[in-house]
Amino acid sequence: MEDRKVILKAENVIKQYKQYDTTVTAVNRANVEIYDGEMVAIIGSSGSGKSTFLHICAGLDRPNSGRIFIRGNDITAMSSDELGVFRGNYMGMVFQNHNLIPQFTAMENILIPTLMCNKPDHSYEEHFKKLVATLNIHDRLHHLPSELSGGQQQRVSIARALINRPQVVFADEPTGNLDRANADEVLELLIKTKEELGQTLLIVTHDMKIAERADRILVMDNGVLSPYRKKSE
Amino acid sequence: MAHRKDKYVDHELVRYTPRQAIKDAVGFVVRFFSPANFKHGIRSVTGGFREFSVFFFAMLLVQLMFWFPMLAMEARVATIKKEAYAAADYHLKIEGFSSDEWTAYFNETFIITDTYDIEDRMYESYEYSTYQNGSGRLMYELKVLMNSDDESHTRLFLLKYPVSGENIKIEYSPRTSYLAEVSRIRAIFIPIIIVLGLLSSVILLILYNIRINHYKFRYGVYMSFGADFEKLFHTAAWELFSIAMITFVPSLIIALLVRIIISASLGGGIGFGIFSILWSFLWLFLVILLAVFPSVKFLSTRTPTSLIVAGDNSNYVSSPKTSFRIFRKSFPKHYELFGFWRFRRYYATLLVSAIIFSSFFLCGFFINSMVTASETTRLPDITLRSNSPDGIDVMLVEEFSEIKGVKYINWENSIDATAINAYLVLDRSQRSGIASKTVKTDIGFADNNYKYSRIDETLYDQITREGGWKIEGDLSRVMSEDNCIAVSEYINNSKVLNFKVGDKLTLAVFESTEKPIDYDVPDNKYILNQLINNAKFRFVEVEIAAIVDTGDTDDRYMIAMSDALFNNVVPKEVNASKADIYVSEGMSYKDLDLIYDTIRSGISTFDGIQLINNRNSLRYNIAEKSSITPVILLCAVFVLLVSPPVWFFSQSMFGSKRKTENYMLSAFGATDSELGRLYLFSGCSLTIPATVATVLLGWGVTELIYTFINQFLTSLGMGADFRYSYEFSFVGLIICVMLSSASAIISTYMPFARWKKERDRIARRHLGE
Repeated sequence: MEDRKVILKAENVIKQYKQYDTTVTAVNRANVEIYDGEMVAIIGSSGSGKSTFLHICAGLDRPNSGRIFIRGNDITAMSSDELGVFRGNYMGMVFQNHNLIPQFTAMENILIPTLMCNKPDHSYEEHFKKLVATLNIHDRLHHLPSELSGGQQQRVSIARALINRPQVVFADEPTGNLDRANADEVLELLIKTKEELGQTLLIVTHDMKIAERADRILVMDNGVLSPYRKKSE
Repeated sequence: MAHRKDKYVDHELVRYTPRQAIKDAVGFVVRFFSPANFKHGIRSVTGGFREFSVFFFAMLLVQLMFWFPMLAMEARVATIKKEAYAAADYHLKIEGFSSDEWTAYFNETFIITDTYDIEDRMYESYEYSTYQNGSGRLMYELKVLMNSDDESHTRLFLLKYPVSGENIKIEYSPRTSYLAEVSRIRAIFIPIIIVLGLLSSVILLILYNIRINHYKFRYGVYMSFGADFEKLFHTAAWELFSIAMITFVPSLIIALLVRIIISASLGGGIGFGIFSILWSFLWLFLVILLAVFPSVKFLSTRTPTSLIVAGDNSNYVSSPKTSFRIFRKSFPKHYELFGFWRFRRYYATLLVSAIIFSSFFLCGFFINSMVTASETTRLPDITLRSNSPDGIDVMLVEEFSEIKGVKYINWENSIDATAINAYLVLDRSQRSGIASKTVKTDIGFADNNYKYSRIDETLYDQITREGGWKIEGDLSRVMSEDNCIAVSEYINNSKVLNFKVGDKLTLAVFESTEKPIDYDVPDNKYILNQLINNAKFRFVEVEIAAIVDTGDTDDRYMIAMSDALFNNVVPKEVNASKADIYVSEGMSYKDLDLIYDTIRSGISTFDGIQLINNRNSLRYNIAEKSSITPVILLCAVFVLLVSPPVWFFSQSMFGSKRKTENYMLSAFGATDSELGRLYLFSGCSLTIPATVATVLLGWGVTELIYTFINQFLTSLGMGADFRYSYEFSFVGLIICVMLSSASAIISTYMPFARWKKERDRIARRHLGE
């Protein structure tokens, strides 16, 4: 593993925020290196800071201190504009609550990243067809999110994260709102597309069954990130 | 030196060079005009018509705010030309040639030109006439029609054919000066159009801000997937451009139709050029860029997570911290009050955003009253000025007032109080706007910022016969009683005194001084202080019989009195130095010229009297036929019309986020009538801060403009040369308050009604209806 290229590196990341009169440390000096093509799962209880850390790694939020490198680029030093473009080109995000725009159809939601990055139609057409076929949402493309089931909404969200062929995919509890059958199916899809596109996958979950599918598991406990050790160890 | 944009890309340092900066800037502009942006903009606004409907309305108003003043300017320009051509059929008038001078000039200029220099002839035609001056001497007058309206052409003619003589007087006709007037009008209108452009930007900025605020979640998602400032800016600007393009033709048609109606009713001209269209594009471009830039720039600095989270949180009316206080409180009243507090920033922004337009509307009333005064105030058509110590003979005034067409003559027979070391004593209540200039004495407050004016029988007759002054009280007492005076209360255009008819005043008449007075100090108050402390004065008690408004915007107020009292308080001889002659309204330019000729003959025997043809009838006619007051009122109404859309746009967006809350409240037992009352209570409660904000903003902004124009500009010597009065428009204020209150209630209740309808529709669908 050590011979492989580091694609994501977190150095002493700290995130604190004020809640009324107290300061909450959501992420406390997190350090991690993730390698190209690796699947890493972060587990932890609710409120442990794992989603916050994921958002910081994905450049959706800023840390109070520490640095995040993706492909050797320090994204914490980038301006908002540079980071926006970088995110569009190299990263994909699957949100826990799907975060689909309610007024847009499934297809429009999936194509948002192509529009934001000014991708010409021909560059993603084939990929789009393949994605919707793989995710089995080809017959729901012209429906609004409110007309889709939870599982279908999450598939649309995954398609949106993958449409620009990102190198790193961040998934925040992608199966959190789904039943077992749907959760397994969505996970399979994520792993399948990861393998096909050679992506790196950083996934946040509280489901041990999902985490066990990862190459590596990290635990977030009260903002402290550490490697997972089985109880027997 | 490292540039802040130097960066490491894939472990390599990439320097940010000036060349790269230029390349980035050019790229930004080139990408801005890419057809994809245009296509996206059109698709976005036509696809989401409901979402953008308020912008269509606002953009129509914004464009009308460009076209109305632009077409008004062109109409004024067309009218100026038309009237200038009607006023004179020549460009240059030279009068006062003696017989010999005329013969020499005629031969050298016209005979030689017409014979030898026909190719370079600078004039179309000329005509001359003779008149007799007061001493019976034959004089010649020449009128030349040039072959160009350009003033420099006429000046060149005079350089080529110079004229000299003892009594020569040269006058450029309106036909020569109208181009300068056109430039002046453009110089006045262009800043107005720019100011309206800024106002338009504010309108669009407020609306776009509301949009961004309510679509934070959407923008957060966009930014999560690669949107940067450039993308957001291009999208926002092109959305508005697309709307502008759709509303362009309708706005132009409406503006042209309104202009035609206004011009037809006033009898003025109409002008419209292709350049106006090009200007409109440039203006719109700048207005939109200015409107979109700040909000998008701010948005782009936020993190996507904060935007997405803000979008989600706004679904909840009460934060957990506040909710526990709901126990034992009433529903819906207390519940909604907590909601108000929770969203206080939203409501404060909404109130200011919506109500600022009401204050602009009230400002429109103020500007309208000012412009109306400038357009309708009659200024003297002909002015006589005397440089001789004898002044203008009253006999002359009497004689000229008998000329057919002369309405009345107002002449100035006055002297500054400072010139005779005089002052008067005011009491505290009388010196409202002049307090800082007065000096406290044992008997009151001394002031010398006034002039003494003499009213004799002839002037009294002119004033009272033709109503040149506005009079409160009995002016005849000034003529019949030696201790009675008339006062004006204005300095420049501000009311600075607070007199009442019947008030008593003490006039201090300077007698002598034992100590020398230092007059070289520029501080008038200091000089007055020295006089009070070191000089001897005689005091004359007088009574105010009349308060008058002379229409003058002088830097002194006036104390007018009879001959006898004047001679008592002014220890030196004063003669009239200026006489303003007003002619009857609607008089033709030819008849006015005849009056001028008659007066010219009348004064020729008097030394040192200068005759000036002000041609204010021309100014008055132009203003009357191309009045801009309808345009000002329309623009003011347009600005006010923006207020309800701001309410409805913002509240409908806000209300749509309360759908979940409605369902939740219903699920826990709230009835429809309780929910309805919740929204009604919310709307009615909003009327209170809305009314307060309307009064405060309306009063504050108009007062600010009034102070700026009447005090700040006047202190810079840029005060208006006509009197206008302004009283805060309570009718306008009531309209604003009613509109704000109605908008607050209806816009708050409407989302609930819409939600109820939608809920019933879904329920019916579920029942298979």
